[in-house]
Amino acid sequence: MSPKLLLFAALTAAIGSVVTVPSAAAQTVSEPVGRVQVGVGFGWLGGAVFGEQPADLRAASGGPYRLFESETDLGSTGSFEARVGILLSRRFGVEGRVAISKPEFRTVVTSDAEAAGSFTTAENIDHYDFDGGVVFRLAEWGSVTPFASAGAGYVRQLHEGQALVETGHLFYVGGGFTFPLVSRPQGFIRAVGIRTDLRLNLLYLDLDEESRQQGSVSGSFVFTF
Amino acid sequence: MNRRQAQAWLAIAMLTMALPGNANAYIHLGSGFGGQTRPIKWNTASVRWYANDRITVPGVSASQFQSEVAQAFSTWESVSTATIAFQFAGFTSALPFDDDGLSVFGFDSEPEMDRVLGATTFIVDILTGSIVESDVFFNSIFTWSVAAAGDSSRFDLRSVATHEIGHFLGLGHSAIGETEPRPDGGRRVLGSGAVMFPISLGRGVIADRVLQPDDIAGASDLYPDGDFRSDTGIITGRVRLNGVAVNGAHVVAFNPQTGALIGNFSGPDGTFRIAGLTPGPHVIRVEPIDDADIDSFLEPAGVNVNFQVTFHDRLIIAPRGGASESFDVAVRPK
Repeated sequence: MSPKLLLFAALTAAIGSVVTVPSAAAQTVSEPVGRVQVGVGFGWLGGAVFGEQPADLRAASGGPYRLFESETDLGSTGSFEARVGILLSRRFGVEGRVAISKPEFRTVVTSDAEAAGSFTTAENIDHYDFDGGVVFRLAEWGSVTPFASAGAGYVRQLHEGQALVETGHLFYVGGGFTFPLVSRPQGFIRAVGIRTDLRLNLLYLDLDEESRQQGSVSGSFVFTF
Repeated sequence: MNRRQAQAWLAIAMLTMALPGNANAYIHLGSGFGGQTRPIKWNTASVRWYANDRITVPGVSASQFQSEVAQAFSTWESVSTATIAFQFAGFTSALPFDDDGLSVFGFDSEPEMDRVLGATTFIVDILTGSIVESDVFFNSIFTWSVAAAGDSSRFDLRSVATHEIGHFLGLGHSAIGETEPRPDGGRRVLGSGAVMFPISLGRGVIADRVLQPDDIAGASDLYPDGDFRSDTGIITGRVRLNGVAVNGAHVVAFNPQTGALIGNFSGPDGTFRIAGLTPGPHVIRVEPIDDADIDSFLEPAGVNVNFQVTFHDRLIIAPRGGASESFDVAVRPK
């Protein structure tokens, strides 16, 4: 799924929920205000395009002589994520998240002046997102509670062999829904539910400060304490 | 043998920018003594140079000659990651290649070197690798230009001077370039990725007034400023063909973020080292020396050119302030 499609789906879910906000809704037992919620889950982190870069030599004509062309991207991959948050009111909460993934960073070389074909060169990097933001709970659809989220974070990438650390930051917008599985009025764990997230990240790495879009989708179990 | 006796002419015919024929990253020139080879370089804070004002060529006065060479020196001095300074000491009647203790730049007529635009020679203390004297000549059998935008019928003096000063610093020829054979036996440059490429881009071209990443890495590795080593990275590895070390493979590190190309050659044991890289992932491309005569770069004996252009299948990280773990590149036979 492309980042733009992800963003569209997230915003559609958020807007659709906003226009159906009921005049009054009871606070559910599974998501009580003021209680800490912890979520763990897995997801899919979309790729990010780093763009094309030719290997140009200087020609006598003054123009470039292309030795080869290259295109670099960060591949999509599975990710693990953990989240902790708290609802400050019926509609508003804050949360922090860490996501860990191991995408492939690859450069595809084509049109070499002396070698036919294309060549893929790659490395695996350890990618960490540490982010935090706000969550707006929208109108419930039966047992399902849609939400919209937005925030910012810190990105850390460890290249293969931990030879180099690159850092950066990200901004995100997204949305999703929660669905209660189990709830009880007392006990250490008050409720268990599932949550799905659809996000669009704007990724800025310090190496060039260019923005790159990166979508993600994830599902997690949420425990309310 | 005392130090004075150990000084010897190291006559290195830098066949610079010849007519598309023969006229070289960054490789460092070296001197050998007692079984050891060390890079040659200046070990003085400011290198004094002289300009010959007795031999001039049409269209270039002695003062114009001095000005163009001085601007070429400034180009190298302005490399922010290198520390080297030059000082114009005055005009002289001394000729290039005289063993007189003076580093002289000047024109000279060498008709027998009919493909050579210029050359650089050295007197080197072979015990320390220190350059004692270096002379540069420009072949007056060619027509020369000092025009700001170049002259399509003449060779650009400042471009060739910039190349020769690279040798003057202790740099060898770079192999980052592509050529094709010419009917007359020479080679036509299709593209050049370094001022230190051995063959000229031709008359009227002034592109070699501007240093390329390979030139800058070479000069900085030889004369590093305070932060150069800590701010850049090194990639090390080994080239093999059917499990056997490849001598003289041209290895280029390409930065897919910046587009910079920086190269070096593998040694007899197949190992190579490329310094001065922007920290980050690099594409490694290995090719045989086939765009100029092998002796423009290396001692030809033992150099293997019987393999195909090969891209290593892994991106290699140049770590900030350090060197990558050594890796093997397996090239395919032709």
